[in-house]
Amino acid sequence: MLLQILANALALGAAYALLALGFVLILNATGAVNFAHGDMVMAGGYVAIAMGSVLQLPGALLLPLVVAVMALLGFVFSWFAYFPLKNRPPVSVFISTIALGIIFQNSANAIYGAAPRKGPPLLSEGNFGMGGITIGAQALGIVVVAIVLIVAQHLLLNRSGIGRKLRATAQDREMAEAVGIRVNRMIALTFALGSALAGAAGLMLSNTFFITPTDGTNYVIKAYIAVTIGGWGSLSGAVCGALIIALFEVLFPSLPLLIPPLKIIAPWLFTQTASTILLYVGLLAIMFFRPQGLFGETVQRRV
Amino acid sequence: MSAALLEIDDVVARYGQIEALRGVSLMVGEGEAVALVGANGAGKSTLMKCLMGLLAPASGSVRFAGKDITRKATFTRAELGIGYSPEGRHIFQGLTVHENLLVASRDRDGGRGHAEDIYAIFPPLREKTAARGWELSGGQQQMLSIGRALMLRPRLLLLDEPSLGLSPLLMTEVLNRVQDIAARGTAVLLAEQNVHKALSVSHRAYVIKLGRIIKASASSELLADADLTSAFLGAY
Ligand SMILES: Nc1ncnc2c1ncn2[C@@H]1O[C@H](COP(=O)(O)OP(=O)(O)OP(=O)(O)O)[C@@H](O)[C@H]1O
Ligand SMILES: [Mg+2]
Repeated sequence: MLLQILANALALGAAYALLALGFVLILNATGAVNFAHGDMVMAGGYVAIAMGSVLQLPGALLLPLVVAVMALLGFVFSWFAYFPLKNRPPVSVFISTIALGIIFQNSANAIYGAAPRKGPPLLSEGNFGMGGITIGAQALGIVVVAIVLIVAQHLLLNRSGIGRKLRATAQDREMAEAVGIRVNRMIALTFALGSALAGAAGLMLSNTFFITPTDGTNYVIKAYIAVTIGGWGSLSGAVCGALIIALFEVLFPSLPLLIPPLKIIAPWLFTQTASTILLYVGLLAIMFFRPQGLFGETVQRRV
Repeated sequence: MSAALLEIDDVVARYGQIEALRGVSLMVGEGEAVALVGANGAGKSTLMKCLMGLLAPASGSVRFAGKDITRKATFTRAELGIGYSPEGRHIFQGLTVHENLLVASRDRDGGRGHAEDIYAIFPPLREKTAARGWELSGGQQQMLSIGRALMLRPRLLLLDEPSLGLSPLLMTEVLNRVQDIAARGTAVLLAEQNVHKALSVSHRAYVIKLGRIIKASASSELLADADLTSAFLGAY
């Protein structure tokens, strides 16, 4: 029982990690919060549903296509939401991303309606049995896909020439340009990369949790919380933050299942609603008492 | 005098109401080391920013290697062969020393070969290749900043106050390297408050005061005229 719950928490955390990573990559490159990042998850879910219904392929095979489409969408997105406003204060970009996010939501609503839709599973709906414990194939698939994408992202950023340029751009845009880096290209690429990661998360989450046009807001707030927990600007912190949120979201409401007396003592406490409230209280507490994040040290360095 | 590589003509630059450059004209020849000396706030860094495209001049023009680059993007200027080591060094803090060098290279091999040449010029960097930018001392950061600018094999190197915050010994070391770089054919425009040292490593010099060039002459001439130097620049 506990193992199954942990597997679900890990799968959710892995999907959140992809989402939070993309969010923080764009944050570092532009200095601005991309509020439409959650809508990229939503868009990824619908792209997967659309492609799945045409191609009749499992999610694992659709994944590269969804990632490519979402990268393109992120690229185009940056030309509307970021570049026209890049010399304005970051809050202008924040507002323009909200506006574009709303356009995305309404487009999705116009095409698919407000009712929840279910995305294709990565492989199948079944379970894996291993030594007496059963783990959902989807949960296992999410973890594997997320690990592959996070490792790929890490190698791209830290072991390639283009990755060096992306990091230099995130650290000091003026200086990056002064050493000959085409900074705008790097920022557009970052939007593509971040949106691709969000789209991959969307494909996988849309199967487990379904998808509606307005889900994005919830997801971007999750990313925001993960980054706050992990330390503003830190990539590894964002992944840790995502795992902590997921663990809390999955584990907390199921505590009474694991410890039956809790059901009698405080049944109202272990509900989905109460756990959401607690999550936000936790976020506020971190913002007040540890503005550098749970893991961040003093001033956050962007590495 | 050698052929003109950089020609600045009557450049005016403002920060809002403040006129930081009031019609600056100067010239740097191919392979020439030119000092730009002046007191605090004279406009040295502002001129460097205009040359690099980080600040748009209100009027005037900048020509490099025969091309008008006044309105060109910053990265285009780097590609054309202007290397820039800004005031305050601005090395990439989260990148290692080696990455700071490679990221600026345009070589086929990603700059691995050329980085070796930089380590030969600045041996202290060789012992720090894997250290992050923020782990370096001021002197090491300065060496890295100059080394990074050299990675794009510039025809002109812009150095803004490389001696700032360095011990006299280290300052001499760094400025001697600058002299070597110029001797190998890279033109250098060196902005310095440290007049004596700057004059001793350069061929010619311009004195800038309150956004205007008030004197231009051979460095040796200015250096010999110690009274003149102190009169123009204050107590140096
Ligand atoms: N970002 C800025 N905003 C407003 N005014 C500025 C800015 N940067 C410089 N100035 C002003 O422009 C003038 C020239 O400054 P600049 O930095 O070019 O001088 P400098 O010769 O490089 O001085 P220093 O030797 O102290 O580096 C000064 O009056 C300064 O106050
Ligand atoms: Mg200056």
